[in-house]
Amino acid sequence: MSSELEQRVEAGETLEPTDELTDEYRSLLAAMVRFTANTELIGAWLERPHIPHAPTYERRLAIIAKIQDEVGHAQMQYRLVEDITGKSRNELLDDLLSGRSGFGNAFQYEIDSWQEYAMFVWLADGGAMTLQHTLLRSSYGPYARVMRRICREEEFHIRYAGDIVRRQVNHSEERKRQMQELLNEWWPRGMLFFGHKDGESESVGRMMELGIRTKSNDECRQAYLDNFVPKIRDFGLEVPDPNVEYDEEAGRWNYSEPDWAELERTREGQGPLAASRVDTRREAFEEADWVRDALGERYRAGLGDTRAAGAAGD
Amino acid sequence: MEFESRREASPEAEEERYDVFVQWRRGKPHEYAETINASDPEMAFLLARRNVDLRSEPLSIWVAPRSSMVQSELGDSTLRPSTDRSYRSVAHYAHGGDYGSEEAAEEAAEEAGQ
Amino acid sequence: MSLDVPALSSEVAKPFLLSLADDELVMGHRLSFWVARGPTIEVDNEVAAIVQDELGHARLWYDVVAEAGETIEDLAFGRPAGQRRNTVLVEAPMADFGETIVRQFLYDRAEELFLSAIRDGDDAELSARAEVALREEAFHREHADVWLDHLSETEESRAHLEAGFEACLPRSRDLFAFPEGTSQELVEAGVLDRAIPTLHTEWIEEVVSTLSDLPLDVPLRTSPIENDAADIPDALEGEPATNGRLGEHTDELVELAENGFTEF
Repeated sequence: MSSELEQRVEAGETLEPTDELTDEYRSLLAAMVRFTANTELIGAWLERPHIPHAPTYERRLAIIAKIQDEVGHAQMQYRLVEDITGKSRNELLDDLLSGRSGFGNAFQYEIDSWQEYAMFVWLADGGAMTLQHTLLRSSYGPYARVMRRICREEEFHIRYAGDIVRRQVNHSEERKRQMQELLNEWWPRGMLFFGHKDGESESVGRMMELGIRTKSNDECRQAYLDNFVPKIRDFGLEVPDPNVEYDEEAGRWNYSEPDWAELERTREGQGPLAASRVDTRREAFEEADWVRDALGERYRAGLGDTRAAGAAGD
Repeated sequence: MEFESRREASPEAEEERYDVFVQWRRGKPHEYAETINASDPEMAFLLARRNVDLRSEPLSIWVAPRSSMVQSELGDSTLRPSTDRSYRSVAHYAHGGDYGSEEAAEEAAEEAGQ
Repeated sequence: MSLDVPALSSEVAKPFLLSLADDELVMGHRLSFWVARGPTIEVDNEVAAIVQDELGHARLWYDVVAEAGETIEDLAFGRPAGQRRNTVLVEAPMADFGETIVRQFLYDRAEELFLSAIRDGDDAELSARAEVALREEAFHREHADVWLDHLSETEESRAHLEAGFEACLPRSRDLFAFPEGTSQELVEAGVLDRAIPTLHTEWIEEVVSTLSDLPLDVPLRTSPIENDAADIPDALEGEPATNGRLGEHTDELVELAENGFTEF
């Protein structure tokens, strides 16, 4: 029997913060939003070192703009988690910096060159966009609204990434070969973007029943293939999986079984692995303690004024 | 995970939340855009202007501390009048007006036609 | 890009505009260090916007002086240090947020003065470009003011700012130290509406005035300079040790030019 909340979701109602939400709903929602928020911020941090490698002036500007967008996306989503759970934005940030909370598997790997950056961003942003599009109809109003802005900005990211890959592929045969090698390396990771196959995760199932997510992991994977297989072929590259083929009858893509063990490894290593990925950022953050202290002093000074004004009967 | 109701800056906090409202286009109202952390209104206003999406070239930005806002509680009954207010709606007049119902209005019309 | 800019017929115009472009490029590049590495998430956003402004301004001037076939990458990333005309103020890599704010303050005030002198000059094309840049400078001015003020709050933060001034003031000496005759020709050609030494004086006055409003310990010379009542901070006295306007640069910029701006 469906709960009242589930009935409302089934009826297509959008839930708002003023609605009575169950603990389960809030818990699952918070986990989902937190995950997408963390992933945006990690993405921004991982892209940063490549700013000076952008070969053209336009690309420099674009990569900086993209990173700016991503920080903003994380910021907006942390706000949602803040409102849902009561945990402050800074606590969430702290959890991420200390490796206590996780992010997507793709961000666990090293990116060693501008070419590799291009391939990574192309696939990862494509994956992110797929997921974000399915969240446009999330049952939670604030999340769906935030996704509208995110998807708009993501559109530029997708074009940007595609443009870089196109330039690389058209640059020379040698460069094209390099890009194919990078695709060979990153494609299997991309197939793990959307997590385990359907049926393995109870929480994903519940998220779908509650409308928090509108597509399952496998459905997202299908959409990802819909998007990338033609694009890969357009660029004259090969999908590095001979089993990737569209089954007309079944109306779905077939593909080789993804490396689930690798997914487990990236998840298990989440603590130490994740923490090491963010080492630089955490150190940088700590180096700037003095800045936040100064702002904190200013804040407290401001409070003092208010209290004094209040005491004087203002 | 623990859930609390909407919280204010804790006593140990070093900053507070400011809500940012943006008027995107002429003729449109200000709408909520985002929430930023800042130490004071001056810093909040500085940061807000580069933390909203300027691609759409907004006309106006308002920034206010969350602490200055009062908000309705979950399921606030005072937001909904419970006694009938249908006389205020246009639809009421399309559906029989003072006759009170569409059926009554149709009957009245039939009588008049006879 | 070929443009109709009469002012370019003057020999000094191109090196001058290159100075402005190079200033913005190096400043923007160094500042990009803070993108996704700021003290707070909000600052990340703010800095990213300012970097895009600076790089955008550089492009405004590179586009004017580019010869046929010269790309912006050639001009921005391809020139050896000896050909560059930026102030040495912007050359050091960034590492400390306090020094960064101080550098931004000193640099942006100078930039604003150059831009306003061009905007109020006679060349329509240059004036229009200066106007575009000035609109964004308004925000940079506010940014520097607000941060200088806020970072004066604690003893520790003041120490960072003071160290920033100590490092940056000597490096600011070449901001207005253009080659002999440049100023006069630029005014005569209508590029600028007033002389560079005038801009320099205005800049000093602004710096001194700002410093006097801040609770910072930055040594000022006690006796006034020639025609003004303003005191010059000790560190600004005298000729620049290294004059970027003449193509003299620090090792750090030499390295940056050699690696084609591929490191922060």
